[in-house]
Amino acid sequence: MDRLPETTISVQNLHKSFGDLHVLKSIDLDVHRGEVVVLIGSSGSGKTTLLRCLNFLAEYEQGQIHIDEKLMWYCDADCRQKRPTKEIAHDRAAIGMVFQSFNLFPHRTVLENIILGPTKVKPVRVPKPEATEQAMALLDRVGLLEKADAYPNTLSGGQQQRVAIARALAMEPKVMLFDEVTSALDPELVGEVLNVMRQLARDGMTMVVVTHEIHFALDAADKVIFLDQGKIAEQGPPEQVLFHPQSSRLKDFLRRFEEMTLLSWRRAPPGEKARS
Amino acid sequence: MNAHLRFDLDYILRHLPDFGPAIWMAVQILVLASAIALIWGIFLALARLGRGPVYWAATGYIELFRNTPLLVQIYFAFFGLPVFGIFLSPFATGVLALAAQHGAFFAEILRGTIQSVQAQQREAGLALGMMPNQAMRYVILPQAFRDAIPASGNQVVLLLQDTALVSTIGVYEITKTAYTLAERSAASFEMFVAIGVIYLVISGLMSITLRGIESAYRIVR
Repeated sequence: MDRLPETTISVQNLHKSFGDLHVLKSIDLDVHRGEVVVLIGSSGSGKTTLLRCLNFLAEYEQGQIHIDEKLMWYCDADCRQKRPTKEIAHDRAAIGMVFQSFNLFPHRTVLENIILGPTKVKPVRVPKPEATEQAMALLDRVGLLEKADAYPNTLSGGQQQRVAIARALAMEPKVMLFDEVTSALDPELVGEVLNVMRQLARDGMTMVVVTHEIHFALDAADKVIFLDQGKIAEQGPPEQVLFHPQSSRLKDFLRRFEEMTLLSWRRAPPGEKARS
Repeated sequence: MNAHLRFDLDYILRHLPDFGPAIWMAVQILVLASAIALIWGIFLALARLGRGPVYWAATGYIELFRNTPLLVQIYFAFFGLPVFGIFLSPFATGVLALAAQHGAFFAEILRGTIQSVQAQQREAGLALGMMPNQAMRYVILPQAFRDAIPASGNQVVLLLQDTALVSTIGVYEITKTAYTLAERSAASFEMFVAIGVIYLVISGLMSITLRGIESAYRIVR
């Protein structure tokens, strides 16, 4: 068997601008196999942009991102020679992404949403019967087996987001990226999505999660990164970053969650921790 | 009693069978021209979303054909094409002229619906590992086609009305037949009432069919 690299994602000196706006400033980041990294920060801190750079949905001008020791994107000095779109697409197929706004395909049933990738996109195409079987297993895993033939618009937000997770998992990704996946949900639907993500973390999936759910960071993350004004301001194990913030920016940021999240968590810690 | 005020229903009924072949002719023009226009429209719409010469060629074509009267285009095709050594039957000339203009209209309908599919849909496809052309094929176009059905249905109904113009180059469709029968009698008014009703019935049947297609393929977002 091939040796699997320890570091799944490696970001070096990443810079990204939107016009004059310098959104990411020299980001360095390593994500190891099986690790769950949670990115927090106020809006505009660059966390979503960083996530989108990881699968090159957002283009960047400077820096290097390696996924499994393979350079995600490059161009020569004057950028005439770029990495071919086909190669980027090929690599993206192994990186699952879940969006804030679900983005299920509304003209396809839940099952059709899930098997589209394996049957039509995956570098090694999966035959339809096999893809269907795998899709049903995934739907079972996210608790939506009975919704296979439903159209996305008939589902609740939480159900749609769980289908979106199943759709991404159907590609058998090495890494899963989550972009504020619970931000568009009614509060009572957040839990069902986070539970699926917790289970995924327990199963050993490598995950990078942008979220405002401090709760989730505490019980599922291996590492929490606080982004501030396009830079990594603080990082470390969740307890260290969330309970012992060093900078005043992070203290201010966390104060907003204190009453509603941290205190309630201390009062009634949710079950066992995802990992030790 | 003044003969001009008499409405000769009997004359219409007597000549109704003459309209059988005329309606069949109009339906053939309608179906062929619509099919060609739709396919041509898809090409034009995709070209118009491209860049460089492809974009300019499609844009030039669409503007030219949208902004000149169909009758002028039909005459141009009928009298102009032979000048270039292209000899087509009046029927084929009519079908192509209709398809040429309606293709431009279809292209604009489709361009609109393609552009109105949310950008996040394309992104979701790309994030799954699709190439841009796969995202177009599996994600954007299927939605754009469905969204285009109501406006396209309207366009096909307009195309039916436009088949009347093909009468000017001697194709015996509904209007030409009515002209001929009217010339043979004093019953012009009756004839044009009759074909008005015929067009209305065909359009009505089409509208009902289209509404069925529309609701069967509607996307609820």
